Amino acid sequence: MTRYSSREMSKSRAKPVQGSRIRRNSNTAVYQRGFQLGPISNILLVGLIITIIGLMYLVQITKTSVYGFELGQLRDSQTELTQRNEALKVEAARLQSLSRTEDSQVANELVPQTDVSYLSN
Amino acid sequence: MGSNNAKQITLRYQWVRVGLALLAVIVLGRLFYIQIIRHEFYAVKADSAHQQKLIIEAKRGQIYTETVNGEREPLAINQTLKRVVADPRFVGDPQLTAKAIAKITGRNPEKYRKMLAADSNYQVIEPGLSIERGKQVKQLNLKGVFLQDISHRVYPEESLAAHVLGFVNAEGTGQYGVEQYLDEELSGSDGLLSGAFDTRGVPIATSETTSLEPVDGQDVVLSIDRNVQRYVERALKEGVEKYQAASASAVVMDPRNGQIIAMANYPTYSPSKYQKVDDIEVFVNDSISSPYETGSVFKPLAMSLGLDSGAVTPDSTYYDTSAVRVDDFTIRNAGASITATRDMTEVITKSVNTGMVHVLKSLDGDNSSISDADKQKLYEFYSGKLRLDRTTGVELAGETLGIFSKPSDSSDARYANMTFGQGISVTLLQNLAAEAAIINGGTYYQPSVISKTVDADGRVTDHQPMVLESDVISQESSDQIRAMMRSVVDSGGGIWAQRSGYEIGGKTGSAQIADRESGGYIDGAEIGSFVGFGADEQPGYIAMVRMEEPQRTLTPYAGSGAAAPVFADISNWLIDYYGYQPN
Repeated sequence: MTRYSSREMSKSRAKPVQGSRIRRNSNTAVYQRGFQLGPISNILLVGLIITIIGLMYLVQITKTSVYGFELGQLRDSQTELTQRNEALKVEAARLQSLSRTEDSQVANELVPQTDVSYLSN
Repeated sequence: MGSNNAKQITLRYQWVRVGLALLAVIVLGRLFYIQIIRHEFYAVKADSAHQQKLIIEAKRGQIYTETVNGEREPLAINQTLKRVVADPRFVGDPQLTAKAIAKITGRNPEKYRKMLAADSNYQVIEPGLSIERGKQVKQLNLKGVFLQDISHRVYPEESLAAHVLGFVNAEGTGQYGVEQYLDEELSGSDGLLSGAFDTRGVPIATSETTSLEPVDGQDVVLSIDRNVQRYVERALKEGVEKYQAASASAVVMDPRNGQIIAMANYPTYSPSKYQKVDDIEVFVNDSISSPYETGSVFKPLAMSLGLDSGAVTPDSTYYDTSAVRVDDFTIRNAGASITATRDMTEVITKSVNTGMVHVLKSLDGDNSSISDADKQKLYEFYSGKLRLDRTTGVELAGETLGIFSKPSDSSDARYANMTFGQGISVTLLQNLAAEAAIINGGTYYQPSVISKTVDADGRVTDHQPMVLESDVISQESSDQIRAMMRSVVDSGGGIWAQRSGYEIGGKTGSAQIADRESGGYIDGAEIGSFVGFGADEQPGYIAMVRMEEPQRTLTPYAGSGAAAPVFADISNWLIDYYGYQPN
């Protein structure tokens, strides 16, 4: 089993900073990322994220508007059907009114009652 | 030189910086002013641009009658119509627009053109088109022409029960009858939608939207039987035409619970066409709003007090001298002057005025004269038991009180007259309710036209009969007065109403018409009345008919000659309709 000192372990993962002075009791190694974004890239990335979120928001808002429009259409349709139903009820009531019934052909063919006989039980 | 230039450039930069800083301060200051100091003002202004409040109208309750099978038949229902309105400022070509609308409505385009060219910003082009026609107008997409939904009250039975129903005016308020009396219950309460609206006025659902749902009005089911109502209206019309009367009224009631089965007046009108009525007196329900001296139909009321107090019995006798002197007045019997010993049944059967004065005199146990005690007893009975000093409380608008004097304000002669229906005026319904109380065993029920109400959630509330006086007279006295009234139909002035095998009772009444201007009576003018009941031992219906000024050449007595035949017509029909079997 191979043993490594802590210094050796550090060496295996970090590189010494080139051109910097090495002082006693100071860190001789820094961690260096393999890939680093510059300031413009950062701004672009943030802008992209904001744009995506904005687009998502717009999509949601549009969907809500579309649903609202559809809901409005359904409401209009419901109102129209209710109004038509009302009109039909009124028409039915008029057709079933006593004056209409009395003027009907069936009523005109009825004969007045004459003597009524009651049969006792 | 180079150093000077650099300095100058630096100075200019400094000025630009200062200028920008000042500009920033000004902008920030302005923003502070708008957003902080004038926040409320601009917030309200912004809200008002897209925030609106929309009133959601509650549906008016509908009015029905009910068959014995529980089926509801509509008397007053609602229908949505389209009102066509225009803002002439935005109408393109009035001529073309008018023609396009007229093509749909079939009306004169010139009328529309004038309205569309008017110097106004609001013109009602058509007050109420059907849904279909409204849709056709909408599809034309006419500039400056709009459609509004309006709720229209429809009375499908036309004039049936017009005075019971009343009508709803252009403002949506109930007028007369049930429509006015129960206007609040029928109207319900409007809702409110508050929030953001788009440019078309369509509400946008946001977290700030608040809505208060409308509560629709209650439906009302009347106790009126539409078949009986129809027949009574027809009988009245025929009676008025036959006897050339000025007007007529009739009410049919169930004496066992006070429910009104029919209430009619003639002339009448159609609530759907109330705008076309010339004489607004036609709207008045004479049965409850026109008190009059009902005459001898009052006799059973005073007689029932005599019987119940023990002052007289059906067989008690007195000597009728055909006239009796009270104060400075002579009270005479109608017809020929015949002197005879008469019993109380005969007093009712032959409608003897002097006999009623005898009953009044006897109330205190001493029949020699009219005492204060006699008058007080009659007053207490009429007001306390028969409730003639107050309205009946029927659920109809416009109930009116007549004249009813206290003993302290009245002469003996007036109280003597009050025993046979003169010197006191009541409405037909007051009189009928009192008669019902004495023939049904002594219970005064509040007359009612309401059978049940149905709230917006469909909960049904039955209206129970309301007993206002439970011991008007005893059962024995009630039986006696019924028997006396049957004798009127068997052998008195009510013989018209006779029908073999059936227990029909009644009483005629003919009274002069009071002249409101002179304080006396109108010469030769009479109101005839008949109150009657049938058709079993325990009456199932009681009805009263009033005929105003029937032609004297056609009938000598308005009560027995004109009102009684109309009652007989109604009574005979009711016997068949309800299927009463003969004894």
